[in-house]
Amino acid sequence: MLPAIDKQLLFDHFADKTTPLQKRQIEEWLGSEANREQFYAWLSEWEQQNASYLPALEEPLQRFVDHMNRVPSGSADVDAGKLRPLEGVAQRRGARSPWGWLAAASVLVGGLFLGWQYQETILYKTYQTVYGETKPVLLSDGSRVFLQANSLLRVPRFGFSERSREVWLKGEAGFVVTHTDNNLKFQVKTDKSFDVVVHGTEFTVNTRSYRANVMLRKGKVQVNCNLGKTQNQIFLKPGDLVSLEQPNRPQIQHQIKPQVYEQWKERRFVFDNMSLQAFGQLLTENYGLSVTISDSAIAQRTLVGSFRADNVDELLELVAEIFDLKVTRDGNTVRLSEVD
Amino acid sequence: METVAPLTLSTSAFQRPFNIVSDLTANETPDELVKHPVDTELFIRKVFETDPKKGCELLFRHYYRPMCTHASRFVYSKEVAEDLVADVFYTFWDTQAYLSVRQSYRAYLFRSVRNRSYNYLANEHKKLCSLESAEKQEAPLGDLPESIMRYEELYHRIDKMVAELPPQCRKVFIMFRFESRKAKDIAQELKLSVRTVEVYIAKALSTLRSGLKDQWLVVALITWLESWLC
Repeated sequence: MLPAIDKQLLFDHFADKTTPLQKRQIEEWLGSEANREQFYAWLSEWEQQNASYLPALEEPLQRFVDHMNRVPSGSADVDAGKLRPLEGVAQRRGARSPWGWLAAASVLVGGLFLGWQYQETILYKTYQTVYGETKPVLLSDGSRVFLQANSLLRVPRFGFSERSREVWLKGEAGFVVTHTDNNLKFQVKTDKSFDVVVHGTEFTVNTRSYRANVMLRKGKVQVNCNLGKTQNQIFLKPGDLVSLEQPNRPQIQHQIKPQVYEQWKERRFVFDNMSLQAFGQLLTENYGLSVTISDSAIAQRTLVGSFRADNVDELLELVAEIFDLKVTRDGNTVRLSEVD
Repeated sequence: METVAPLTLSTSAFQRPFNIVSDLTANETPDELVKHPVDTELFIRKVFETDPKKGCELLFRHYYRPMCTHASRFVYSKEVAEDLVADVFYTFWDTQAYLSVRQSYRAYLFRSVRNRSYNYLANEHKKLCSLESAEKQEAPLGDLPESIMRYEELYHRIDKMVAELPPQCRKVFIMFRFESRKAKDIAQELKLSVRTVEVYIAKALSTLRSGLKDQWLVVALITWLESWLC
C-alpha cells in the first residue's frame, strides 16, 4: 500500500523540495490515469499560487479571439496537431537485449521504406499560411522570410546554406537575405516562368497570377525569366519593381516607394492607385473572400493612401466609408454596391 | 448582451482556485477521485457543446496565465513562454483538438505546453530537431509516469543552474533572457560595459548548454528520428 500522496506533497514536488524516495512514490502514484488528472489539477493550482511573474491576459486573449473569428476551427490540417507521444522517446534507453537490435533493424528498414514514400516531406520543410494569416520564417542561414497570406514556402532540410541556398515559393513573401562567407547565392524558384537570384538583400517576390512581380529594397538581385529555350536576365537596383505578368515583356519601374510592398511588417495596408477591382482580387488571395462589385464604374475607382486595419472587416469598412459604398458580407461573399 | 454572463462567471472563478474538486478532496484517497476527474471543467465542457469559440475563450481565461508561468520555468523567457502557450491555443482551435480531448482540457493543455517547452529547449540546445517538428508535437497520448517526472526534473535542474551562476552574471542573464531586454539596456542600467554584459550572457548560456547536454544528446536524437517515422 502506498503512503497517501496529497496536495502538499505534490506542491513540494513542484517546488523541488521532495526527497528521491518521495519522488519514487509520486512516480508510482502517477501510474493511474485518475491520479495523472489530479496531478495536472494540482499543477495548475500550484502555478496560480506560485506564479514566477504575472502575464498580461486581456491583450493576448483579444488576439486569440480575433484569430478564432478570422480562421474557422478545423481549417488546419489535423495532422499538424496530431498527437505525438514524447514518451516513446524518453523511455528506457538503458535496457538492451537482442530483441532491441532486431527491433532497431526493422525500424531501419521501415524507416527506409517510409523515407522513400515520403521523400518530399523528408527532403523539404514546408511553411504554409492560410487566408488572412502571415508568418515570419527564420531560415538556418539567418535569412528571414515574411510569408504573406495564402502562400507556401518550401525549404530543403539538408544541405541548405552548405552547397546552395534554394527555396521554392508560391504566393507572396518578403525576403531579408543574409550574406554568407562563401558568397553563396540565394535563389527563389517559382512555378511561374521566372526565378530570382540574390546576394544578400531585401526584396519581395509575388507569384500571384494577376501581378507576378519582384521588388528590391536593398542590395543586388538578378531575375531570370525563362522564355522557352532562352533565358532573359534582368538586374535590379534598389527601388526597382519588375512586373512579370507577361514573361516575354518584363516591365521595370524605378523608384517605387518600398513601403507599398511591405505591408507584412505591420497590419498596415498601403495602396498606390489600386483600382477597386484589384483590391477585390487582393481580398480574394489574402482572405479567401469572393468580392463582387455592383457596377464597372465603381470597380475602376482607385485607392490611394495607407490604412491601418487589424482584420479584413475593418479594412472593408474603411474602404466602404472612403468611397461611400455599401458592404454586404455573407460568409465569404462580399458585395460592394452604391448606397441607395 | 448574452455573452457577458459566462465571461463574468469565469473571471470570478479565476480569482479563487476554481478546481473545486482538488480543494475538497485533499484528504481523500486518490481512488475517490477517479469517479469525477472531469467535474471541475463541467461548466466549460457544457459551453463547448454549444459554442466552441466561447469554450476556447474560457479555457484561455482560466489557463493562459498558469500555462505561461509554467512554460517560463523551462524556457526561462516570458516572451518565448507566452508565444508557446498562444501556439498551443491556436493549434487547439485550428485543428479542433477539443473534440478529441478525452480527459480534462486542463491535462491536455498542460501536457501540450510542457511538451512544447521541452521541444523548444531541445531545439535550442541541439539544433537537431527543426522548429517545425516541435510544432507538430502535441500532447502525448499516454503519458508515462517516468516522463512526467522528467519535466519536473528538467526545470528544477535549470533553476538550480541559474541559481548557481555568480550573482552579477545571474542578474544579467535573467534581464536578458527572462525579460528579453537588450544588452545595451542592461549595460546602462547596471553601469557595465556592453562587452561585459555580453560575456556574462555567453557564460550563462554555455553553462546551461553544457549542463543540459547529456539530457539532450540521446533524447533529442530519438525525438528527431521518431518524428520521421510516425
